[in-house]
Amino acid sequence: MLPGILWYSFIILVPVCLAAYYGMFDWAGGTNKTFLGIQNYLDVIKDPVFRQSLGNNIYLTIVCLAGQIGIAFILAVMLNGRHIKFKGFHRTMSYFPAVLSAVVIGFIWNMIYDYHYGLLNSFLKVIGQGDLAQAWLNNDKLVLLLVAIPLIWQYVGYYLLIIMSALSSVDPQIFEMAEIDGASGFKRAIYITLPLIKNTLIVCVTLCIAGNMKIFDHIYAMTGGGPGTSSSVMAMYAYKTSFMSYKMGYGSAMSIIILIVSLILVAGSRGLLLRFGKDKEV
Amino acid sequence: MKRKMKTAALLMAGILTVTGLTACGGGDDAKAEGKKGAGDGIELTVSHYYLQEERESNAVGDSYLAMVEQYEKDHPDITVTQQAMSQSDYSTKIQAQAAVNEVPDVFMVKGSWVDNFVENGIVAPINEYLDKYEYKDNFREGVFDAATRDGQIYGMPNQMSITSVVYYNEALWKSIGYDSFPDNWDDIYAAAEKFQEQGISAIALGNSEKWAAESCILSTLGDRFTGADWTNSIIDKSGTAKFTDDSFVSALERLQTLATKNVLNPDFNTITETQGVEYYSQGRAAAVVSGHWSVAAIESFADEETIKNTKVAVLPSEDGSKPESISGGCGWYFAVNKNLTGEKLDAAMDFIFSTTGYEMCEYAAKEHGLMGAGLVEDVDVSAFPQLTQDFIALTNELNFTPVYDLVMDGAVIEVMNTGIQDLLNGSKEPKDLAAEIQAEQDKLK
Repeated sequence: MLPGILWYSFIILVPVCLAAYYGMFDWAGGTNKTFLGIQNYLDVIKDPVFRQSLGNNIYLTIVCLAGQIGIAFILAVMLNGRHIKFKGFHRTMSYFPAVLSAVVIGFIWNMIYDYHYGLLNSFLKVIGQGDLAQAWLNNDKLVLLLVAIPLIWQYVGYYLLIIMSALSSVDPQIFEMAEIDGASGFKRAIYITLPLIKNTLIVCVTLCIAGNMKIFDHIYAMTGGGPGTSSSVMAMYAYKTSFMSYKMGYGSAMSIIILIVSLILVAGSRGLLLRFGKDKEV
Repeated sequence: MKRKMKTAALLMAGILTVTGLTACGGGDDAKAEGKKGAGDGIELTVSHYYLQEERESNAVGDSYLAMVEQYEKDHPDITVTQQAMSQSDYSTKIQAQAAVNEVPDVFMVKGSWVDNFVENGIVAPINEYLDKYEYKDNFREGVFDAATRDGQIYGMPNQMSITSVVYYNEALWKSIGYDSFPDNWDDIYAAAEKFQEQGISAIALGNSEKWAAESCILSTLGDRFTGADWTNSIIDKSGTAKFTDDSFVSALERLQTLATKNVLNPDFNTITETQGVEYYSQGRAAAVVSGHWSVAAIESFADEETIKNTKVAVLPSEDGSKPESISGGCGWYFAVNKNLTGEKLDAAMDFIFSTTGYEMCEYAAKEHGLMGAGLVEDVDVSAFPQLTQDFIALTNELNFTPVYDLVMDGAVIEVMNTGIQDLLNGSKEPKDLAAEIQAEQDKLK
């Protein structure tokens, strides 16, 4: 146990504490540092770009919660039914995007959204809606939704696998009895499946929130946070502040704030879901 | 059987330990010998971003590496250890090394980092050695500016970046009634409409990496509005010039009209600078505003016909006069670690003068037709491709004004570049962007 704790503290706790310490300085990288106290932390909270990035993270989290877990749940229930053929094939194919690296996903979807060669614009032209064709990722109102779609596409298979393994542990007789009693597929999903795999879903929600709080590489590959800061997320803004603007102290402070915000959101949502689940059981 | 296995395992472990030990011992011996071999010489570690495998396509890199090879030949007693990596990797690594004051003996510094490196005592001034350098007077004006602080010069410039040349397809412009690239903006706006009817754009821009609009267009436009004094005041952080001044706001307004008047390709914010040059090479755009690097790019992307039709020009001036300047200058310098002393310091200084000084400019000019920090006379350009010759002829007549991202503070540039994407999109007003950039400038000491 002790070596594990030592190792853990060395690679996790020490860097976090150091970042918190560096966050108290005006530091551009170098031997000179000016002590500022908590000024950097206060500035981060007031920084409009940071607030916008946090908002974008939350938006992506909500869209992905609905998209990734929602679609995965529907697919899992369908695949669990008796009428579907080639279940293994469907399962493998839907998991396939999850094994691709984020940069590959970024490039694939960049090609889809491309102005000249993109599938989306070609499709619009084929169906006679060529006027709608545009440089999609340059549309600052749509860009967040457009980068969320690849995220959903990639991770549906991942959550599908988790939910299916939970479903397989449910006694099939329960479903048969419900069917005999005349419950429709929709009713079975809502009143039987959902409560029985509640704990697994809570794990999925936690994973989804944590994953979306640290999202970086997909967006970096697709838009770089642009146009302007429209698709900027917290991790990307921290990276740019530290390594492009050379404000290492400010960037460190930002990282610590991201850590705190993420912990609050993950812990908060977990607590809320657990309490909500208990009330229902009583 | 079990016991036998155990014995065998022990034996194996024993063998491994012994061989392992001897291997280590051997290593130490070899190391000691290696040191003795070069014992009377000096070891220099040099870090840069010129990769051996990119030599073919990188003229500056080839010139530099050729100079290093020559230096190694001339100085057998000095061991040069090169650490080469890509430019973005290099930038990250050197910043990290600077943070703990462990930079190599010789390394590259960008103009916008000089303040930080000087304050932290990482770079050594080269004045004393430059004064003794035989080709001291052969350098162009202003090439040391970005590396000069309080009269001290902190590096040798090794490349001249010219960032704002208009490459245009003469045949396409003739087809809509212009003999050459227009010398006023109204004609460009009018031409853009005609090109749009043909389904192409007048000027290609690839700004997804965010630097192209600022580095290639705004740096030149800005100077036309603000003049050099304004830019220098911003660089000095003296506070007399502000980004919110009317002149700079007007420059931003001019930049914005490029997008609002549909002069640019609609996907300017989603393609890279290289893709922008490709658009031009493929005939999707009638012109592109880009730097010296695009001469080679156009020669390799475009077909014979397009290359033959490609001519060079400059962006129009605001008052209708003949433009005399474009953005260009030295932004990267080879610097020496401040911790070096004695013989090693002399060797490192000698190394940067030999590999990035006048001889390198001469080699680059004669081998690649490349303009360097030093003025090289009597270069026979007739053997180069026509486009290279045109480029040299055009740039020889011009003066150079600072390239914003090479000389202004990195944080200010980051705000400017990010905001320009919004500006071109029409989602940010020039005045508001100017205020944001000034707010970042105000944070500097």
